[in-house]
Amino acid sequence: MSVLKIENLSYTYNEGMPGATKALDNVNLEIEEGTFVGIIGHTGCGKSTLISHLNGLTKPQQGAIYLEGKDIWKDYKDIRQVRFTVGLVFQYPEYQLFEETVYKDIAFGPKNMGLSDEEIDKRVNMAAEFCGITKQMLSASPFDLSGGQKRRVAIAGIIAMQPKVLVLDEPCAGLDPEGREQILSQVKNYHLTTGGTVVLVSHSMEDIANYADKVLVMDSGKVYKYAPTEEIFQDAENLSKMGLGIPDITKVFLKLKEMGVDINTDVYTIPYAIKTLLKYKAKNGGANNA
Amino acid sequence: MQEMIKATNLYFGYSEERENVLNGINFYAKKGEFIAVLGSNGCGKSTLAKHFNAILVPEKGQVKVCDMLTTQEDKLLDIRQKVGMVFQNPDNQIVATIVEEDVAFALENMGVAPDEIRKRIDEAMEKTGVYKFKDKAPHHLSGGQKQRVAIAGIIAMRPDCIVLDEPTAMLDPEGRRKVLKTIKTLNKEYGITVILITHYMDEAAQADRIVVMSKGNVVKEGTPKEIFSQVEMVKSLSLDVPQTSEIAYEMTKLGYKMSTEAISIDECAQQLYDFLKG
Repeated sequence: MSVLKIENLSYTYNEGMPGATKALDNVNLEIEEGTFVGIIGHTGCGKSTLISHLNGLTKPQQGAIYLEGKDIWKDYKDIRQVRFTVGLVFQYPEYQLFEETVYKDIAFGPKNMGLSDEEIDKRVNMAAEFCGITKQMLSASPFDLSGGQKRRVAIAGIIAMQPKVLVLDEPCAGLDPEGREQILSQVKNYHLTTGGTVVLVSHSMEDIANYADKVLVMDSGKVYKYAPTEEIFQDAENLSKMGLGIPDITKVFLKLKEMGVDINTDVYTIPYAIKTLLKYKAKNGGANNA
Repeated sequence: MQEMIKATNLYFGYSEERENVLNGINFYAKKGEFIAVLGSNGCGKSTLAKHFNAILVPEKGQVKVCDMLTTQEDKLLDIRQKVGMVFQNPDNQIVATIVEEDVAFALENMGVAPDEIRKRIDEAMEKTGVYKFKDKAPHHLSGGQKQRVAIAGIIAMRPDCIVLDEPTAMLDPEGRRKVLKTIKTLNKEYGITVILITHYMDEAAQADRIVVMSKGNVVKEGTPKEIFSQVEMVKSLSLDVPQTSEIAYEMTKLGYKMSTEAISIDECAQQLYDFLKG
C-alpha cells in the first residue's frame, strides 16, 4: 500500500499577481511504504514546494495529499498529527538548533508529542545512536559542535519523533565527502532497520544513485519521470540536457558510446561500471583480438 | 614569479581552551595562479582563508599580501582591496535591494567617483555575466546568480586575488557550473589569482595546483593529476577522488592496469576505450 499519495496537486506562488509562478503543475505520485525515494530536479523545478505539502506546511491550492489513505486536510485538527507522522528535515537544519544541550534539542519534538519522560529518554537515545551522536555530545551545547555534528543533531531531532515517513531536503549540502557519506549511510541504516519510508531531495545524482530505490525527476513543476533508479539512468542523456549533473562515470560511458562503443550507458556507480566493462570485454574482447 | 600571498609558520586558535586550528602552516599563492584548497570539515581551510585579507591576524607567524604584513593596520584597506573574499551563503553577502547597487556598494564606501563607479560596475557585471539582471532585486535571483552578483561586487574593486570559500556549496549543478566558469574566466583571461576552497573534487580538478589540508597544516600539494592519482592517500584524509580516478584505481586492483592520472572525462573514456578494444 502507498503511504503517501499525491493527487492532481498544483500550486502557484503569487497567484493572480504579475509575478505569478507555477511551482507545481498537476503532480500525481504514489510513494509505497518502505521505499527510499530520491527526488532530483534543477532549482525552481518545484521540489521544495512539493515536499512542503507532504507534512501539511503548505496547503494545496488544487488537488490533495493522502497519508495512509486519508486526506491530510480533511480535518484541520489532524494536521498536527500529520507533522509527527511525516518528519521533514529542512535544508541547513542546524540553523534551527536552539536548546541549551544537544539532549534537550533532540527531545523537543517528542516532548511536544506529549510523551512520558521515560519514553522521551528512550527516543532521544535511540535517535542519537542512529545519528552517531555520542553520550558526551548529548550534554554539550549544540553550538559547540562542528557543522556536520550539528546537522546530525538536527536530523536526530526528527528521527526521535519516529516518523513513518522521513523527508530530507538536501541533507548533505556543504559537508565534506566523509560527512556526506556518514549522514546518508545513517539515514539508509535507519531506513533498513525501521522499515520506514525515506524521501531524499538532492542535487547530487551520485548520492541518489547510491542510496535510492526509486527516483522522482521533476521538471518545471511536473513529474518528468518516476521509476526505479536503474531505469532513470538509462535516460542519462536527457537528464544531462535538463541541466541535471549526471555522475562523471555516466558521462564517461556516454563518451564511450560517442566514440562508437556499443555499451550500456545506464551506468551510475563504480562497481556497476566495472561490471559493465568486464561484461562487454568478455563478449566482444575475443572477437577483436582475433 | 612574484608571490601574491605568503603565509609563514602561521598559528591560530579561536580560544585558549581548545586546540589550535592552524598549526604552523606554510602556504603561498603566486600571481595569476588558480589554487584549490581541499580538506575535511574542521581542518582549518576557512580559518586560513580569513587570514588572507586580514579578517583574522596571526597569533604567531606571519601573512604577507603583496609584501604587506596583514598585521600592519595602516595597510588594512590596501590589503582588502587587493584580496576579495566570497563566502558560501550568497544571502549573507548581499546588502542592497537592486543588483547594480549591490555591486557598487564597496566602491561607494571607498569613495570612488560616480562615473568611475558606473564604468567599473558595468565592467564587473559583464565579466561575471550578471549584466542582464542589473535592475532586478537580488531575492528574485537564483542562488548561482546571487553568487555571481557577490563575485561582481568583489571584481568591481579590481582586486588582484579572490578567495572563495565554498562558493558553490549551496548551488545546484547548473549554478555551480556557471559560477565555476566565471571563476575560471577571471583567472585565465583577467589574470586574477584565485584561491578556491571546495569539497567538490571535479572543481578542484580544474585548478593549477591543489593544496590538501588536514588538522591545520598542509599535508600534500601538487597538480590535480599528482593529487588524485594517489587514491589511497586522498581517501585516508576523508576526501574523495573523482570517479574517473576511482574507476582506474579499482580496475588496477582487479589486475587491469590503468592510470589514475586520467582525470578528465575524455582521458578516462580514451583509457577505457583502449581497454575494451585492446
